[in-house]
Amino acid sequence: MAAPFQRCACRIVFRSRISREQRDARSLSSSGIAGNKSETAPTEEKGSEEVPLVIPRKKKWDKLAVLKALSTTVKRDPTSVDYNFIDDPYLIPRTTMQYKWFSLAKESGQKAAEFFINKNPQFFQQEFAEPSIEAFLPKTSTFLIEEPCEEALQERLSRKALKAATDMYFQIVDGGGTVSQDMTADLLDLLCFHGSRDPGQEASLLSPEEQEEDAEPSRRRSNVKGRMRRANEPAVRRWRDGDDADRLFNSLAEPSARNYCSLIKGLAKYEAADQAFRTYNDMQQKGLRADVSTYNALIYSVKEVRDRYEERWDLIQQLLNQLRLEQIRPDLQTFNATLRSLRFCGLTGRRSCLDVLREMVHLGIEPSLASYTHILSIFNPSNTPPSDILYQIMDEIERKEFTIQDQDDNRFFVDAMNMCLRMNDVELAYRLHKLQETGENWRLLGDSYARSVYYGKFLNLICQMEGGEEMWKWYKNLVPSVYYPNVPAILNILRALEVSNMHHKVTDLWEDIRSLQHFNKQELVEGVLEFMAREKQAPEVQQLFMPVVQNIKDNIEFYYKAAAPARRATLSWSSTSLSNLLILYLRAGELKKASEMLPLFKEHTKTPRAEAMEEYLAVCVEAKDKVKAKAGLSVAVHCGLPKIVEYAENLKSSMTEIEQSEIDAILKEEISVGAEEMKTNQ
Amino acid sequence: MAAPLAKIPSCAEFLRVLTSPRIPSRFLHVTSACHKAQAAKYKISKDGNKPLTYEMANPPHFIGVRKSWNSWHTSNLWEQPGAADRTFEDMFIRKFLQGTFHNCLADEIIVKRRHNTIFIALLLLRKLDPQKYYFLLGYTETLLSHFLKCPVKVEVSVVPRKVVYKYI
Repeated sequence: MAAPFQRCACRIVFRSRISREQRDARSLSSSGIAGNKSETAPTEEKGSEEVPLVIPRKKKWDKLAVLKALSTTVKRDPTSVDYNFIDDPYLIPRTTMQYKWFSLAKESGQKAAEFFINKNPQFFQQEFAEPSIEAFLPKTSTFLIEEPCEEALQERLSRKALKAATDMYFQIVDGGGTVSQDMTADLLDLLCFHGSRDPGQEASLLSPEEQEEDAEPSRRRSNVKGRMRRANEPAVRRWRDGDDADRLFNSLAEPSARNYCSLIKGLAKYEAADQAFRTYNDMQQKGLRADVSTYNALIYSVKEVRDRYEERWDLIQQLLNQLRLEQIRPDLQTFNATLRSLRFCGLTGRRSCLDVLREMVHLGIEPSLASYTHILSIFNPSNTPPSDILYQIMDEIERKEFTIQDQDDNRFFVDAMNMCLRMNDVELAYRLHKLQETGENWRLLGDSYARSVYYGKFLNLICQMEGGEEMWKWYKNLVPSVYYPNVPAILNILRALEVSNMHHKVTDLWEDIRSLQHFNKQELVEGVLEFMAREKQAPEVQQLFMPVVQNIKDNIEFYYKAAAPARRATLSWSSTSLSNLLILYLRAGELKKASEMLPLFKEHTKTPRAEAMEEYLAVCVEAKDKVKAKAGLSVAVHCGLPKIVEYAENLKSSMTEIEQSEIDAILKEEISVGAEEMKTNQ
Repeated sequence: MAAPLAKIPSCAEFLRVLTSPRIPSRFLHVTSACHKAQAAKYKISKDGNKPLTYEMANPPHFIGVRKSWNSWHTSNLWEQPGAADRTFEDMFIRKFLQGTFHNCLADEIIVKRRHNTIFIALLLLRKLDPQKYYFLLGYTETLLSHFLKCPVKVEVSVVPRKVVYKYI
């Protein structure tokens, strides 16, 4: 029942440029209008307002205008690598792991050099550069001005040496001097922003005790949230009473509104939401007014202080009303924070989301990608069937260019692609991908992890929904320049190739598998063999398989020949892989190599598949090869296949070269061996 | 012939030392020594199997004809200052890189200056893991930038083994 209503309302809300009267008229009519796209062209409506067109006499161009114009003519090159790697075959990363290693290695080399430079500043002091470049001078821990005065504090602040600055501040104050209010506020701002800690301080360069001290709160945090911190997320330090910021704030005789605001923002940032709200109440009692970013921070941390959905929404409403009372104009961040908090309000959030959006339109604030991310997740909780909100969002934002405005902006593409996968809609995924390629939108794709998730889901969807040719085109486009597929992803690709009967691509795919270092994954190797062996192909395709087959066989044998520690946890023979190899050799007309496979069954005590054995014997009969047929029968008997007698009869009738007695001998011998084994086991 | 000189006692002593069997006979040269040693020209080996890169195969008089300079900057032009400084810096860069990428360099190091940036072209061998190369590259760029007070960029390509131009 609610669905058409939501659909209609959202449509109205997104059309932000439509005047209010028209919107009201539209909302009265049925939701059928919402589906009609051509009816509302925002630019036409804009034109009716008759803005006078002013042609400037001179246009001042941006310094980079020419470069920007040139760069719009270039598209992404699917054969190139990421810009921070060196385009050399040896130095290109080929797996996700290598991608991480290489970029971290370069960074760590730079860090090592910086460490050396800062440890030995005497070698880097010469100033022959004109003008002197500060970035190439060592960062010294000594300051120019030592005696306590405001200039000294200014120097420490400009170098963001927060510890030294705080010490200097207290020295001045204890010495009976005064510090101007602006400078105190600046210092408090910095302290609150960085959590009373010198920025750029590396965890690994701290002494062990300090590291322990730092690790403890982050562990606590991960327990609270119920999930482990991902490696690339920075460890967030919690607020602690008695920190420099706290000390400084308490020492102030009469904190100003700005001081209060910075403290509240710092508290909200470092996960002390309770304290932030308490400070806010203090502030209200003193009759000071907070600014909009403080309200944003408070709205952002509502879910920490209230547990029930209605209470959370009530608190948000209170804060928003307060904004209105104080006549502060909310900005994009206010709405994004509200929407983000609504994500954690269940059904209440779903109901109120539309009101928030309506208000947003009313104020003429264009939503950023983060707003859409939040809307998407409000309307699609993970345990319910997906709603069609993404279609409306896509209608709205297609062909638009975005810049980053909010910290959650870069989550949109991953979440939206996830939705496409849940809805199994490949057309929508193409539209989303097109949006990602528009302008500079690729910048909002997120870090390398988010990117690999995005492309992984995209390719997965294409594998499921598209034909082989189309899938292969996309595969070539994405792998390996932006996406390194993992084993399940490659198995998906194999499935798609099999459905559209494109077995000849396996040679290319195997090359990629080798360069992705997946050639020693048991599951994948068996998948590839199964893919090649399932159905009989044309002779030339069977011949194409041969290099791959040989390579797989060599790989597995390599692991058996290797010393014990190297063999562990990698490839081994299984019944299916041996049978598949046997079949593949037979179909390529390599009877000799196929017969070489036979002893392996006995050696590793594996059982060949009945079809494989039948095929082998049939080929032997065709080739009139008595010795190989006997060897095959012997293996069949040894492994105790159910239709041994049938095989023997077939051989007898079709091959006159084999004498009756020989076959009987094989049968008898093997059966007696089997019986003896049975006896010993008993 | 030594007789007139021997009249002066010190000379006689000197000659006695010179002619004594314990001193190498080539102690004193009247003419210039001829070792057949020449800079940047390689001797032909007996079996003709000494590998040379293109850089080594062309002696210095072919610079600007068949091969180009290893240092590119404008200080050597007419009335430009700083030639000595640039040479010294280039030598420093070369020594630094030879130590940092020890045993990994496949050819001479090319140093080019464009505007305020120094570009260093390296040809490396596959002797270290790629991530170690990335570490060393980041390290080199940062450290040299701080030494020379200008942006330094290293451009690298990797070859499996030294590229042999000919055997002599």
